[in-house]
Amino acid sequence: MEFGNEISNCILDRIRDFSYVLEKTNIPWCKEFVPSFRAILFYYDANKINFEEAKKELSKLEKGVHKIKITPPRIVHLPIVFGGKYGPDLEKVAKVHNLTTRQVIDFFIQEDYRVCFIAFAPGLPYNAGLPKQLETPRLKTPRLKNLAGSVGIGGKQVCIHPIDSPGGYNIIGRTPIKFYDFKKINQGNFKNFCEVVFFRIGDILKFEPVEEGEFKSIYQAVLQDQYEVKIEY
Amino acid sequence: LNIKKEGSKLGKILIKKPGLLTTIQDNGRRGYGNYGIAESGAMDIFSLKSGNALVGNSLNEAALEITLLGPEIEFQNHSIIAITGGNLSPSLNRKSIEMWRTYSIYKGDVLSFGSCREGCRSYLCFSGGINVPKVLGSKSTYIRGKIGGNNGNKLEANYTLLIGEPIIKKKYFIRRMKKEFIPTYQKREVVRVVLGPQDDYFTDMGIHTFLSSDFIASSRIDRWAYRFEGPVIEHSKKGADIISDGIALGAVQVPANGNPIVFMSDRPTTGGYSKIATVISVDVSKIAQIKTGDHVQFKKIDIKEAQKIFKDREQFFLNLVK
Repeated sequence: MEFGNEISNCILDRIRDFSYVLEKTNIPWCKEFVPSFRAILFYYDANKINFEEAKKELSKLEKGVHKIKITPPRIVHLPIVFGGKYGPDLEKVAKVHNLTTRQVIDFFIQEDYRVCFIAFAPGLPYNAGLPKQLETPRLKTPRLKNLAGSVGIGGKQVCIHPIDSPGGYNIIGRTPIKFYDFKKINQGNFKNFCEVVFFRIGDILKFEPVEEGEFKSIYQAVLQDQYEVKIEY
Repeated sequence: LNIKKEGSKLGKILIKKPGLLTTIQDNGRRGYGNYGIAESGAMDIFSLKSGNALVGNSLNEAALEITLLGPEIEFQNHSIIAITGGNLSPSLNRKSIEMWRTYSIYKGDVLSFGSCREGCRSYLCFSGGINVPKVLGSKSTYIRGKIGGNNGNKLEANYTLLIGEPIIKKKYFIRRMKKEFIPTYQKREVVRVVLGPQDDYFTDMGIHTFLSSDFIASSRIDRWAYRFEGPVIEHSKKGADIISDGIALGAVQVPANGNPIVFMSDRPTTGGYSKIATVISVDVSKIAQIKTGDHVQFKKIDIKEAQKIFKDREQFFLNLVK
């Protein structure tokens, strides 16, 4: 189901509100749904409904969605180390835009980012808010491995890899924060998904540059569960 | 947790050698795509369900998915098994055994595998199933996400796996899949696709290249995706990149390099390169049996045909358990 072809707050709100309703509605033929910037993917059971009927039913449901009242977003401060082995594509991004790496970093950290949805890999936030100066096409051939914590630019989008995984984004830096708790999931030791997946739709992200040394010490603290991410409510 | 209660006798198997990539897989984990958690599950659903039908399990029960180089397994209890899918030369106590039929297994029996004769993945189904807890509703192993099956890991040597008590009681009862239903795996497969959702990101020439050429499976094939190589599929002026959206099972994505990627069980839930088509779900099982160097050709059908094929396949499974 498509809602235009742009990243805009208006479309993001519509998709967020519809997703909220979908979470609470039992649709017998709907096996799963995956919201994104401008579309929602539905998996339907073709034994129960056909494509055309599913489309009709969904658009009817969407028309009845009212604007939901949302709680004010959390502001999350994320440490990030730029360039070098942590951001192998930083220099390329600078070159593409005729900027110095310092300027790329400055442009990047002066903006706030909105977590639009969680997708791709477990707990991975897709974020909007990248300044125009830094919009960069994805890699021509996606990498087979990006390390957990890698922060990348793909077009207008910014993502943070929660686990080691393939991906086609330009990786400019890395955050030491862990935001996916697979141990708790395996143990079944949680009540709500926000205990195992850190980011929430609507979060506002502020990136705060750190040097390699600080990155390493935070990384160690995170491993020992002794680091608390700075969050404003 | 669905650990069986006392009274039902669980069996044990010992993994003596793990093989290349042996994982516990059922029909997958649904409903968590909006947290970025992959569906996982058997790559070749046809073989999983057929094997389960043979040993009397519910069709979606977990089995061992075995890739190219099989494991060596010692049974510590009586069991009834069936091996379906690609033929990796299974043998029981060093004597070669058939695919697509049940065998009674006794304490001390050793099951092993040899060279890959056909296909890429075997499914080893145990009557009574595999006894691991369900994680987010499924026993499937999601290796990248580190969850499910054996805590998200492939099987390692010396691992002991609990299996259910055989459901079929008669010791010498042999069930075989009818010959006409057993798939043959070719070095060149035709898989059916429905075009879209971003076929407008390609030139007519690009679509033509996609539908008329042979593509070769590269060495970069795994449970995430099959990356094919062949003539470059030409994008239109819109380019290769899109605003990221959902990736369905079998989605065929074409990055700027013009080579198609077919997404499989452990795929990302979303992606940002244009998708020229989707392999119909029934034919995803065919892709799962392709290995490096095999050829594939994509054949276009419409969505109504795809739905008919899906329903026929579902009916086939219903008949199988009758």
